[in-house]
Amino acid sequence: MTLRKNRYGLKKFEKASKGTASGLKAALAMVLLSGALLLSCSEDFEKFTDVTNLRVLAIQVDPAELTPGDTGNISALVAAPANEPVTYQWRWCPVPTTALTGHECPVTDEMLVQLIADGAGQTGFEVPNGSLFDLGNGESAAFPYVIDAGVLQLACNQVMARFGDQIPIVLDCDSRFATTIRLDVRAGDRTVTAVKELNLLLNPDAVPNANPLLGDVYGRTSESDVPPAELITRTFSGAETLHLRVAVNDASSEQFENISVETGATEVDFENLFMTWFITGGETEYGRTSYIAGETPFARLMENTWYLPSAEESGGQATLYVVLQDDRGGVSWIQRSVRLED
Amino acid sequence: MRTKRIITKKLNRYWAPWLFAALVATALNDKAHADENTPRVDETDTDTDIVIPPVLRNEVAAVYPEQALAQRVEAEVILEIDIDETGMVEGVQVAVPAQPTGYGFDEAAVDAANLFEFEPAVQGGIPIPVRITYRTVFRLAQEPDAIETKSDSVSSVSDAAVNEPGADDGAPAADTARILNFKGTLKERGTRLPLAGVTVTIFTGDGNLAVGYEDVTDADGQFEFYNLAPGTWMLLAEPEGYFPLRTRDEVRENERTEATYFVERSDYNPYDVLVEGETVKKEISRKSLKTDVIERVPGTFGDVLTVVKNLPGVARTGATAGNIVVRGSSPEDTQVFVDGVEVPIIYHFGGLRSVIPLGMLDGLDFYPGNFSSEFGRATGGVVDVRLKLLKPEKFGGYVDVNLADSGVYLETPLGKKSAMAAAFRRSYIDGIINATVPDDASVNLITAPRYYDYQWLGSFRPNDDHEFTGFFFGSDDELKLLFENPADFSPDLTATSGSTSTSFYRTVLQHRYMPNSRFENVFKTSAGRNKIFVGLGDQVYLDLNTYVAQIYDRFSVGLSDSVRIAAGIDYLYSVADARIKFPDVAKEGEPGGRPDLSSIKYVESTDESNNSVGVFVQLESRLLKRWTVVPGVRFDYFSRVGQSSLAPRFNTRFALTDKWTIKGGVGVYHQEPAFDETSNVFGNPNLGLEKAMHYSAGFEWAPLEYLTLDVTGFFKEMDDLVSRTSETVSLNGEVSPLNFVNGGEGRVYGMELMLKHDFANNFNGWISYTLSRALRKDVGETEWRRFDFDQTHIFTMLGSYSLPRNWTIGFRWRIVTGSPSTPRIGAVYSVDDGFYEPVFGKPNSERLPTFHQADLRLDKRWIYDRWMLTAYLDVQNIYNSPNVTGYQYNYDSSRRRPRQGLPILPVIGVKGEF
Repeated sequence: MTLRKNRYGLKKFEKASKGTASGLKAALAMVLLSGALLLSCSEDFEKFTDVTNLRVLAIQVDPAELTPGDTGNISALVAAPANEPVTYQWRWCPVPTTALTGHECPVTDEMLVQLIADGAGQTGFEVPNGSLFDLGNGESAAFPYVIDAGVLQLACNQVMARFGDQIPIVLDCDSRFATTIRLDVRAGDRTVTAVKELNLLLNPDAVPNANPLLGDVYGRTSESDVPPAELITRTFSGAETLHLRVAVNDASSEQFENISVETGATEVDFENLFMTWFITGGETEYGRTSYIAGETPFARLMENTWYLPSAEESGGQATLYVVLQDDRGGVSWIQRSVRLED
Repeated sequence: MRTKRIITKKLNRYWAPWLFAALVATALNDKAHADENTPRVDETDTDTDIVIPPVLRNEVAAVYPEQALAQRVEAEVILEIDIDETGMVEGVQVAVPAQPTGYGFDEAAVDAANLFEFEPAVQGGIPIPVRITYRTVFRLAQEPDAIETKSDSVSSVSDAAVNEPGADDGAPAADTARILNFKGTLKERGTRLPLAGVTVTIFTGDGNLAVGYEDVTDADGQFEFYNLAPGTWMLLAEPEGYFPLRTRDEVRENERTEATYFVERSDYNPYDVLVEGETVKKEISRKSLKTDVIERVPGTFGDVLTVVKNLPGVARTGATAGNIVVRGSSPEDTQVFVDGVEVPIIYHFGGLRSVIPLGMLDGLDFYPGNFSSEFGRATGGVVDVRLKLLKPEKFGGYVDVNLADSGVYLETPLGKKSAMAAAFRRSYIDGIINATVPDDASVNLITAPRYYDYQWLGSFRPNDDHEFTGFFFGSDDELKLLFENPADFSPDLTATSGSTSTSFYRTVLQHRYMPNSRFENVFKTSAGRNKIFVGLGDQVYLDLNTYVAQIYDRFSVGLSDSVRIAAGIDYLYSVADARIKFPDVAKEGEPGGRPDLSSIKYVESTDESNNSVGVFVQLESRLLKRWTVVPGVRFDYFSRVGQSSLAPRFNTRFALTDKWTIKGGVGVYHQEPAFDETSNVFGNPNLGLEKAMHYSAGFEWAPLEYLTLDVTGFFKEMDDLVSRTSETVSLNGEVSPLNFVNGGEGRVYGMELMLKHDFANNFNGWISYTLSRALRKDVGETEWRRFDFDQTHIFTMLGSYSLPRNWTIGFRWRIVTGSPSTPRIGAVYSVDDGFYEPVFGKPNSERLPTFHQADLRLDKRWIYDRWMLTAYLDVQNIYNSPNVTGYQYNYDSSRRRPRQGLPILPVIGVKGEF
């Protein structure tokens, strides 16, 4: 059986993909035709981009991919109601996790030690600081890539054999070993869980992905331009329309080597970028914008319109969270609050 | 001895004026409500039965008297002939002798008339003796040697008058005194079908001067009268089942009056043509429906396959869902055939409309289980859509216009041995959407959804033994979208356009040979192409191009009056090119949701061929006249999985009385996994066949000719069901997912009831009820779970009532246990994918609320001379029941709300037939 490789060379498969049971055609028909339906539910429910409660809006690992010996600095963009303390719990899991199991990690420290022993014959591997899995409960965390890449590569097949039924993808044991960062945040009686894939590069010479570069936010009303500095100091009238432009370095769309799913050949590609416009009040023209390399203009990624809320309904302030992501796990964000007066 | 009726006198002296008065009276009052004082035809006023006159079966020409011939004398003799109830001539009298006398004209006419033979006159279905008036005409041709005698009756012996010898033989000289001056054609109003064998009466004058003639229409509906005197003539025809024709026409000197008369059927209810012939009823649970019934089932818009969902054993699915779920199991377990030919796509856009319009069809047979060995490759049910037997009597067809599409159907005879029909239908949803969707919508429709389908059917019957049939049909669906801002739909959507196009065509050639009632062979071959493309730019796509061929032969031989053996072979071959770049799709029991576009697999294959061979044999025997036993066995080979199967089946019926029948059956059924399940990328190429055992037992009760009750209990046990697994397999040191194994089990049991009222008393309809339980256990699971369409109670009640003046009203009401659903119990935000990934509870562990809905349909038909117009109003969900078809969740699955089905939905359509 031959499995074609995807963009990263990961041989992925979705164990419990969703849809109806009438085959591939029905699935795509669903994609084509139900998009509007999926969106339409946001008319009565709050939109995905409306931040009204505790939310994890993004998690960033810096650098976005780790080479052996690196330590990844992990931070999160969390929006929480004022006056409610937020608690954090960071975890790492050496395999990708799945919603089927509530994203619980199927591997323990002891199992990992045994896996390394069984797969790579490296006995006596010691977990630093007692556990690799518990990354603490600070606002940020750090993950050290301390496992030898060669050992990890050799243990890879053992992981697949033992935990294949609990992980959603076929691991890439040649170049990128996929692991999971999990964050549980709690404020009041509400808990939000977020997960992010963290790739450990197996080849020390591989070029890791970088987080995209995000500049400042520029505004424009019907009357005048609003420079970045003025955006946070100026008081806008409620229900005003604010045209936004977020500066993004076009180098954020990195060039990388990709393995074609169709041909299996290595080809040079550019990253696609997408930007999510979270807001605490008002409405934006688009919830997300994107740059699709070779398909859409870069400007479409950066521009949006914010129909500001009234001061009364927003308490005199509204916040914009702009999260920029590439399609290889890179993340950056910027946050701006504007003052409102009716 | 019965009193002989003198209908001649009635006609000439009494009948005509009375009849004329009756015509006036009935023209003012509907026949059914005519006043009791309305003058009657019968002298006694006690017998209103119309007398059907005798018909001359054997006419003997009178011998021209020699002396008259020598002197070239012509004459006419009017006779009175007494005919007994057997049609034999009892006596002949000369009523009006020949002039001049003395040549022997009277004797010659009487001698000839004594040798006549008639079909006797009939009144109220009973042959009666009558006296008729008969005219014998002695005419000389222009050539001296050409002599001829002609006869004409003044009553009912019209064949002699119309088709008299020489009238059409190109010898006008022999007919110079006999002038055809009234020629008419009788046709059915609306359909223009000729009415044959109808007695047409024409008369004029009243009292003693009343004169009348009769003729019987020929196969073309034509009738003729000769030598009518100029003036106004009344015409009367009363074909059975039609409103009477009463009209008057003018006959002018030296002119021939020609006219076509259209007679309206007293009832255009289509159900009265519902005649279902059946030889040996050998199936346990077959349900048959004719298109005329199908067309008027409320809430289905006359869609042939949608109507199946109203039969017992079929689960309720969404209003536009194309799947047919039989006895709880998966939709893939049920096969749909068109006259035995497998159809790859049965619905436009997966469920909008069937790909074959009703005009081409005769009806359908539905087998929810225990189907005979003639059908294979399915473990669930079989729907066999039957093509119509093409026997058009004229060029005709229809144009059908409704909110979704418009179609035209045409058919015509090609001589007496051939006929052909063609149909085409196209949707205009694209036009509606383009007109209503605003220009600034986030999705631009380059090609809004449009579909069309086409059919051609031809038949040739060189003689009674052979019949050749050709059928060509196909379908084409297309939709193209342009996304202005793809990220608004999904952050991982990188395509700026999406499209789907689905098309197929089939050519079917069939030869049926039936030299006698004991032998029949049907050979059928079909070939065609399926082309499916669905894609989101280059990101994901499915591009399948498949050529298929099928060869089928079935013969049956009657070994005796009660034993018949049938056997056949069914070979299916396909060769496909495929390019598939797609994520995995969900299978039975897996919850719906958002496909993961970032997890995509790819497979490409060229000229990948597969074939399946099925061989079946079955015995159809009727023992002791009441007991039918149908044992059979089917062998199948499936190249895709490299397996063969042997499936014995046994069905039996025993008629306890004329009204009570008990029945039972048991059988083995196999089918291949879906093609993606055996793919080496998406599935497991080492999968084997799925298997099912069907058990059925029940009874039928027919208390009335038009009322039947059918109750069937069933149990279906399924093994080796394809089930998703998370196991992996190591090949060449590389660990890969196994994807699927044949480890699932299923069991479905329950009872089906159908109380059917065939058309009688202006009503037809049925009540259908299914009580069932459908459970499944996937590999690695210890608990049984519900199938996706486990609906405990499915109740449908529907009927149509024919009202006067060609109105029909139909009603349907359904109440069904809610389908199982899988709840979401939480969600985790997947940062990289930019959405909350739902966490699901136990599969199908909760149910949607009970479904109930009523639909109403109103049809009105207007009959015009040469065509008919039908308009209908079909109102779905007339009391606006807020049925829940599923749940919509908010972005993090923390809240949900019911997703409701169709609200009250009135749909109108018109159909013109000619």
